[in-house]
Amino acid sequence: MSPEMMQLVPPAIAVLGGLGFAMAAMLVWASKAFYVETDPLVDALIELMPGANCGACGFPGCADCAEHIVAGDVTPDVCTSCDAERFELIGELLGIEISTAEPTYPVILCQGGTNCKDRYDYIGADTCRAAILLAGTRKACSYGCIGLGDCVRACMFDAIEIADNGLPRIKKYNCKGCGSCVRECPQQVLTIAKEHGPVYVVCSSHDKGKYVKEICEFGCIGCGICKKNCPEGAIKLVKALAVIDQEKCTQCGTCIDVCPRNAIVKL
Amino acid sequence: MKIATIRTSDQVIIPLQQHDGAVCSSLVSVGDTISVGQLIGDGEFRIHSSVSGEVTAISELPHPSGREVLSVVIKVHDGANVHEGASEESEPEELSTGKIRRIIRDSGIVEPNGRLTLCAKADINTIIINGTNTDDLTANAALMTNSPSEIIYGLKALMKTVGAKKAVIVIELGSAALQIMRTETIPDNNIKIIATPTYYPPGTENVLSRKFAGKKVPRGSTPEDRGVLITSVTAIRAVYDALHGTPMIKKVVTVAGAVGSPGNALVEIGAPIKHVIDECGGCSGTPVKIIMDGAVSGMAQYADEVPVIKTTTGILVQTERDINREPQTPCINCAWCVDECPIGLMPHLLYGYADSAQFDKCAELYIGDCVECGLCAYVCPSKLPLVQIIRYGKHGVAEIAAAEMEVSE
Repeated sequence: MSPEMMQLVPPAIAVLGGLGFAMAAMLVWASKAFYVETDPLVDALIELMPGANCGACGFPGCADCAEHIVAGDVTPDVCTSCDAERFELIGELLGIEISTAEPTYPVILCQGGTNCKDRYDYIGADTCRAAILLAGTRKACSYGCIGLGDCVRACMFDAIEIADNGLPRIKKYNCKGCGSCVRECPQQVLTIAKEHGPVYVVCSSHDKGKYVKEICEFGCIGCGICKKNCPEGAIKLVKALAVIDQEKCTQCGTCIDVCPRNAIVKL
Repeated sequence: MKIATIRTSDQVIIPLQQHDGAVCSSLVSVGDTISVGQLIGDGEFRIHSSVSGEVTAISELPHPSGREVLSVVIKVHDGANVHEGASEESEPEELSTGKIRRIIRDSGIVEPNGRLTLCAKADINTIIINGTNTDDLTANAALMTNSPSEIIYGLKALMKTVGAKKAVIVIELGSAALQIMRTETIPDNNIKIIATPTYYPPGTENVLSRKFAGKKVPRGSTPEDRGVLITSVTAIRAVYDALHGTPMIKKVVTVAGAVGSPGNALVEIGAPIKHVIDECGGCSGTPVKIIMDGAVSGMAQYADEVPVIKTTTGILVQTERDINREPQTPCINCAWCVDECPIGLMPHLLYGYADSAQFDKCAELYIGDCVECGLCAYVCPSKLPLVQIIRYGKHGVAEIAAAEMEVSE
């Protein structure tokens, strides 16, 4: 480097250094002058929240939910994404006892997939929502799962996938039971259920029994055998589909044994 | 160009929705014996029976639009299937305007694009007849070569009714119909024949209006608002028939693709496409896809019981060789679709917004103006089903509008 250029170095350092210092001073001042008061409790709670912003609690995101929890509008158990460990930490922070409910998972009320005949060979958009506009659905059953995976894309936890049988499969270790997939499903074949116990008719078809028998291996044909055999009287037939009243059901399992179509399962 | 006449199907299915609009109400019930030309549906427009026979069912059945629509199923009686129209032969000048208008309205004429432009009550200055061929469908040219005088008759009657001073018939360069129509119209200075190079999509109303009548059609209005009535050869031919006592019960349909003898055929409204294909020599090879209307803009059908309706212009049968099963890949924003869109929309943005269910954004980008010509999906290097998703977007926009209407009420 030539001596002339060497002469330029000290003033450059002075100018840039001075500028930096002035800016830093301004930032320090601004952070003091425009300081926004936040509740330290809310901040601490946001740190503890799962941060998935899944919306299962009904608020736009975890931060909003935390504010409402601190304000006392809701209890922390609205969050379905927290596990027991996290609830314990939140309970410690807030000084309350949180009763942790049994985890919930989505249930697919359809056993169609590859067991159900196709109505036509579908070439088109991989979206259930758009596909149901074309002649009912691509499946012969217009009530069942189409299997194009809108639920898979709706899931924020990578907890759902389309399995080889053409139906969504829930990966329980990832699922938080937030219900995004249930809200997204245009066919409404998904529902949220407790992990253990409940008995479900895993079919959504209101078609006539003869037609269901033709097109699907497992569909409910509305024969009513489960209704006759239920000791609690908890099953009724709604438009050729057996529906179990979960309030009355004692999970005895009689209907599962008598169903000729294997359309009733205990989760 | 020959128009084949085919045997009447044993059973016809007449959907009660054959235009863009509400489903008509049925005027017949199961068990009724009806005769050809009898009114069977009424509402925004009229639907007539194309055959004589017995109504065997009225139920939701497959419709070319891909939905299931309330349809009247008629079992055809043997013989006596010729419609006896009024025999009076009078020049259009002799008929009164009101009479022509009433006859046109009562005979249920629908344009191939699903609109009822002939019933428009606007002040019309120019009539444009779109005589170009969409894709490989030659029904328009066949109609013009076979019945030029009927078309001129229908056109004159229509001009008189709506009070139009000028009429333009747009025909493709090199079409056989060009010379025939020119000879036919020599004595008349008000009717002009314009030859146009082949382009796609030929039926876009605002493009026709701008090119051949010099009237630009602003967004949100129809060509009729600007004094231009755009109609089709089919509709004009139907006007001639209507004035001779026959409502719109038959239609010239192009049967193309993998069939024994492709060509144009005069088909009863309601004939199942399976019957039409069988009558045209049947499928050659294994049919994989049957498309209603053109190859680019048409809609693949999921059942061959789907009937021919008033908007049907063609039936295209494709075998495995013709079908593209390439997988879709994500949009790369190359904007080829933007270059091609004849309306000047942004199909790639519409696709993105509709796919993510942001229907308000779709409405902001004028999704309703899309004519579903299919050029965007045709050129897309990512093989995206743009038209299907845009259709879904339109459906979503309509649902939101309906929900808002309900709230405001």
